[in-house]
Amino acid sequence: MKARWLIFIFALFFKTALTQTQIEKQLAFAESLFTQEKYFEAVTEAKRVSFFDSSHQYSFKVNRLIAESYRQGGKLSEAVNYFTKAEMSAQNSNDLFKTKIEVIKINIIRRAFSLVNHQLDELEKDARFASDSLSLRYWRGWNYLFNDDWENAAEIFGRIDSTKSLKNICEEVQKKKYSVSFAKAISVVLPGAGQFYTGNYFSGVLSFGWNALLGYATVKAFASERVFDGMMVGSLLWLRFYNGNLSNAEKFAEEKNGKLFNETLEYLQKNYQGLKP
Amino acid sequence: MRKIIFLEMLFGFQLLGFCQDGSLFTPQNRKAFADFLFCEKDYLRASDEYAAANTTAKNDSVTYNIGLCFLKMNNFEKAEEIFLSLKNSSLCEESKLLLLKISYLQNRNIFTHADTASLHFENPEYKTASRKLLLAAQIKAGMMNRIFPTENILEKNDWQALYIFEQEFFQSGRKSPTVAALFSAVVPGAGKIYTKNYGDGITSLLVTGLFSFLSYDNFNANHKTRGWIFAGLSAFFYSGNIYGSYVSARNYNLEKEEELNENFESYLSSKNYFIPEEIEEKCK
Repeated sequence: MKARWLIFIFALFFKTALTQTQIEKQLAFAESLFTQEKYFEAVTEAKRVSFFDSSHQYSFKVNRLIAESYRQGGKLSEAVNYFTKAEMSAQNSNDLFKTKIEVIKINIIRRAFSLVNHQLDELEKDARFASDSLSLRYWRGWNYLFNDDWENAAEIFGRIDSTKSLKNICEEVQKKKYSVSFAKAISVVLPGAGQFYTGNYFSGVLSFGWNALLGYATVKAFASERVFDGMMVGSLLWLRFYNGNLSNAEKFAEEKNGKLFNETLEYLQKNYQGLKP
Repeated sequence: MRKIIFLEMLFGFQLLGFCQDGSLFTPQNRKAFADFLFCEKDYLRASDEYAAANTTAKNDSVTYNIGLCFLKMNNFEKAEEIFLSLKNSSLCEESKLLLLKISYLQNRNIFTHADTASLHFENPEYKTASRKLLLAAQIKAGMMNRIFPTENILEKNDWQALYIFEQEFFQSGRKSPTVAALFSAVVPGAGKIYTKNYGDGITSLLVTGLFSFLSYDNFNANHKTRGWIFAGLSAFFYSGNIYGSYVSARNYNLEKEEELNENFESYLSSKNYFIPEEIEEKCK
């Protein structure tokens, strides 16, 4: 009788242990695929672990692995979905915080800036993460940076000792940026000036030339009391070139700012050693 | 005592089974995992897993599931190939019905594509579904000899909806391009107003009227050159407005047709092309 019980207990133990070993091996295999940058296969094998792990012992690890693989594969929505699943199976507040930050990082890349601000506000209010305020500030800085708000980004990074280099970069970009409203305003006063300001000299000269010529023709027509001719040249030609000059000034300033933004992000991606979204 | 022996046997068999299987990659485990992936809507991985499960023990229901995965991924060619291979299996009726759906979705003429055997169903529910889909295909293809069944094979709502669509497709208020052009010839812009293009209609009337007036005024003031310039502009806008009205009526008809097609497709899609739910849905 006793022996039968012993065999029974041994069988039960052995089966459980064997299953767990299989799942652990499978998890290690999924992780190795991730390391080899085979993200599609890593997701498949991690999902297999998730399916067979009936005790949900590896839920957190597996969901994070799936999320990371999706992120590396550029599937950001799926990545957020699995990071959220990982949040639900986090065992401690440290794991929970790290996972929430991963979601925030993806949202910064997805340019969901107001959502990121809201998520950071929520984390700041949460007493469990009171000691992580520096990290929250850091990611808020990145949120401003990706939102093209270099002034606020510089201000935030300036308040963190380890991110002075980021602060300097943000300040430099802020200085280099063209003011769109200034470009338009000077073009209102002197056609072509906005283009000169943004470094598009040829376009500036052309714009100035056309506006001067057509403005002269319009004024001359009115001065010679050829009101109808004046109205036609003024409205159909001069006004058209004048408006074109204003929209060109705006477009060039925005283009230059966009280029500066992309170049800075590329520089940070290649050269900045700290944590990045 | 018996209980212990039973439990021992139960675990013993399980253990034996596990040791023999040796892994999570047995056909049964792969199929269970594929079902899980299918329910997660991860159809690409699900199809891979079903295919792997099918290599060692070929099974019609697994093949059918692979076809479903491709259908869900809108890979109609592969899905069709798989369902065609199941025409002589126990899932023949389901496959035939899905083949009809694929033909419809690929904008093929179902009647020339499908043979008589493809349209024959033993299961009354599938028979009804196929007849509804054929009727929808007839309406979409603009077949004039479409037959609305007299027997009660359509539920009242489906019948009414299809009947209304049929009416809209064949008797909707189209605008005649010739009438629109004639209207604009008499009163500039009237043709555009007839095609509900009110803004353009009023602009045409004002522009043609303005240039005509300027031409008349300049001739009166003995400015012949300007008079001819404005007369030319007036004639240009007048003829342009006639042609524009003709085009506007044609665009109106095209837009109407497109809108109707969209509504029809969205109705059919909401009804899953009349395919019974259990044929495509495995997840509860």
